[in-house]
Amino acid sequence: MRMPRLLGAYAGAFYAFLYVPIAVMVVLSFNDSEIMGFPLKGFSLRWYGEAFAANELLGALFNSFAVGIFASIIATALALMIALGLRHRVPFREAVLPVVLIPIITPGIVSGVLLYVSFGVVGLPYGLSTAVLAAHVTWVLPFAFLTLYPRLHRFDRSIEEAAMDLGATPWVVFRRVVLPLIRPAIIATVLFSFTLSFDEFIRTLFVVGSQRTTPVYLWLLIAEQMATFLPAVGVVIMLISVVVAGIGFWVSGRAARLAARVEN
Amino acid sequence: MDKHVNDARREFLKRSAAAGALAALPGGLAFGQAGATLEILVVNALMSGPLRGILEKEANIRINDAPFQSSTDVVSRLIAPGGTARYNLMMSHSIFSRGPVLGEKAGAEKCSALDLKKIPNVSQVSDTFKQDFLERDGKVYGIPIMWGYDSVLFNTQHVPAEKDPAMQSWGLIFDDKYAGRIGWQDASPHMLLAAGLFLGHKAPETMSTAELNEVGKFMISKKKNVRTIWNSFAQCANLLATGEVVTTFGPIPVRYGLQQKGQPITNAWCKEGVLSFVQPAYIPKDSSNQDAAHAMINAMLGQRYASQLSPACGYLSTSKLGARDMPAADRTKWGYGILDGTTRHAPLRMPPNLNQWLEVWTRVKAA
Repeated sequence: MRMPRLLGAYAGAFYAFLYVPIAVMVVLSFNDSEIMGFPLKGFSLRWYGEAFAANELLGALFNSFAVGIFASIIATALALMIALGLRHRVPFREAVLPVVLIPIITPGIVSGVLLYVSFGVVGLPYGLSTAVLAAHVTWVLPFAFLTLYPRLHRFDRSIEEAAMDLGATPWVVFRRVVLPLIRPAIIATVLFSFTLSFDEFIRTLFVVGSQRTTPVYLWLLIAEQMATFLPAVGVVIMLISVVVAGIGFWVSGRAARLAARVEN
Repeated sequence: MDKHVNDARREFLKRSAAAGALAALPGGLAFGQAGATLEILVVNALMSGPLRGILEKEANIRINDAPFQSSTDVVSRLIAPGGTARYNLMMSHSIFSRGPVLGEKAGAEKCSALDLKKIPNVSQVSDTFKQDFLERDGKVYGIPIMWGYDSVLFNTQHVPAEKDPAMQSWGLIFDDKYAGRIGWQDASPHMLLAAGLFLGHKAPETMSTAELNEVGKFMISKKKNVRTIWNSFAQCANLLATGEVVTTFGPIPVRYGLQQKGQPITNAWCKEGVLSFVQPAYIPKDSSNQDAAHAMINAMLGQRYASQLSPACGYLSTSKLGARDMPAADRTKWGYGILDGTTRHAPLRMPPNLNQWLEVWTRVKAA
């Protein structure tokens, strides 16, 4: 009897620890007060108005979307190629996985310094389309690979072999057989990669130059001033990530169901 | 019908891709503006309000300012591989900058020697900042542009120091009277320098190891009064605004921001001296647009920018033009009294034995 109660208390504390800070941020974003804190002074949407009236936020959101879209597509394409390649006997096959996963196990600040120094050595200019995009692709790629690889690994290759028996070239097999079956997984991977890129901060800070992504903009607000619309900006960023991740999970679930149907 | 739909879809995709690519280009959507574009790395507040517009107009430039983290970060970026070509203009505390910017010997400079003929306003730099020029062999590599100070910030409704100069002391951040409502900044050597000044050291950066340890012991004995050791300006501002702390070690932007919001916060003119610092501007040696960078430095020392600097962000100009036409009350309010000697200050200097200072500060924090 005591055990379930304890477990309930533990679960309650666990969820409170996870979600109360988010709830506080949401509440403060509507607080009609000049200070970022309690007591609550009434309901107001003005901080959202102020946040969106600042051109910097819109510019930063636009930049984050642009980098996120390109980085997620490039990383997913690269991850797909690696995953496809690993289905065959290739030299150093066992070494590929650890190498691909290095960006995950490297601390963010170390990655940032490494990117900063190496981009300096090769003379890659700062900017969203250059250094930031490269940094985001290297960060997102392992996650994209880890999402796609199991899908391709479980793939029933007899379907491809049947298509080839019927005279299809490897390209036709990929385009007409493999791609349609893994398309939901690819879409889910792109969306998941997008959220990772959208939220990326520490590596970006090292190589962003004079532009701002949304997390960099948010960090500047925290570092420099008490911008009262900060919770509103936080809620907006969180909503974007939640919506995109939600779509990703939905598509991913669909992909799993489709794969199960094909296997059956 | 299908063809139209497909054409429309293709057109949409084409335009989306073009828009994305456009956004991803360095410089984003800012096409069609006059003048050279300068990539700069300076305290971002120096470009706030009307300041950016003044500079862009007077120097006929367009300014892209990178996110500023700290003076040490600026210097690190300068000396990293490729760092001398990343930015057109940089600024950082003179105490951090001199060594890395000038290098060990002649020829090792990371920055260009400035052509002072292109910066006529250099003659307006106050004599107080003569030692903050970055110079070697008669050549000038950096010109002091902005200065400021750290002092005690306090809530005037809880701390009756505003009208009592005798109370204005670094002691406000150690006083048992405000136990549980005091904030310290997680910054070494700043906090130790402040404590050193309070304990009577005129030049605390020269303290011996024994004296430094005494300062550390004193701080540990007073740590029981401290509500929190804050990290970011926003955290400091929030602590003061919510009343969680009523007195704290504090920088100018926090006081400025809170006063703009009507909060009863001001700073103490500590009788032991506020900690003042200076930031020179310098042009990395491989900067692609040196003329425009010279023009920007000149504009920063000019009358319009210099006089607007304090009202726009709280920092002060090294140019005599900054306070020339300012009412006396405003001069006092912003801190220009330091220049005429009516307010004491202790220039922020780097202790030679910095490792020991870091060790002592770590001990204080861990206590």
